[in-house]
Amino acid sequence: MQPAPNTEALDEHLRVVIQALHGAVSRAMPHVKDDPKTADQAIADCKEILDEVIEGKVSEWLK
Amino acid sequence: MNIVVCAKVIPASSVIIELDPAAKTMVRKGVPHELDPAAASAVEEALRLTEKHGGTVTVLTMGLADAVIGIRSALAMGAHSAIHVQDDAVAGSDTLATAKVLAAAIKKESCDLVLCAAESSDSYSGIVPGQLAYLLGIPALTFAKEISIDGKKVSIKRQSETGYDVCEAELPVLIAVASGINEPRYPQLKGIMAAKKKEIKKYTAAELGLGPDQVGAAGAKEKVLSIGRPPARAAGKVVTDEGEGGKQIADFLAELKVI
Repeated sequence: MQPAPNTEALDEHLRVVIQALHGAVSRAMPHVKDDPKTADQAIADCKEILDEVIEGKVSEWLK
Repeated sequence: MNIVVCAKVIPASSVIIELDPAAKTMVRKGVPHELDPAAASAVEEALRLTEKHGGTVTVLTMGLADAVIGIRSALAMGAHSAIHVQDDAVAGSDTLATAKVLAAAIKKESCDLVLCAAESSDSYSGIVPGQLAYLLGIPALTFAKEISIDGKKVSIKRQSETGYDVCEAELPVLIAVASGINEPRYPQLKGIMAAKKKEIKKYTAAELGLGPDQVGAAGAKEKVLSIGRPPARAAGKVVTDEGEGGKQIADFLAELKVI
């Protein structure tokens, strides 16, 4: 099966997105108790990224 | 102030590293990569310095096409541009060849400060920063756990076993940051989208004036004699506290000569 022409770019985008989510979670976890503001901000940032992914406008991601 | 951050892109932490017994190297091709967390700290420090003093941050890496993912992460964090030395000829480079490549790329830029991790999280040699500073003809301030800049004067707190030493130098200078110097920011959606439009300059070794005898496995002066996995970790000792737990832990630590 031939890969779609945008497979590589899409793959790269999604990997950066997942690494960003991983980074946000890793940043938030140690601060859940001592610095809830940092944790809340990370959760909000994760939500923003996930909303964008769920919206699924692939062409926008690859611009 | 223009800062170049030498940032290594390494196999992702989720990858179980395979070793190539013939080449005596870790297998890097065909596995997912990410920006080395140690390099992310150097990028973070550079961003903080430019936020305070102005200037630009350029991320420099040497590696396969897979390295782009790490470059994009650094650009998404806020770095302004990137340089990628992507050339099959540099595969298998030892630390000195790596330093030569990085130095040649840095010399093409207008740069006041070079930042890098004290050591990478995959090979932990810790040699490249010193070699790089030598090749650039600038001072090296290493194991920095805090950096301050006042005009041309750069001051760091150099992590030591007992605390820290204060070291000073004048720009231009290379600073190798200690792990834990900061908590790197994570890329945000805006940063991820903006990173796509940022410039990544590409060079080959030849374009940097380096011949095949100076880089890659052919140019390597270091020879790895053997390579292997560390021994499996032994099972831990479980102490059940039935009123004597504290004493048992103290006895165990005393046995190890920790206390």
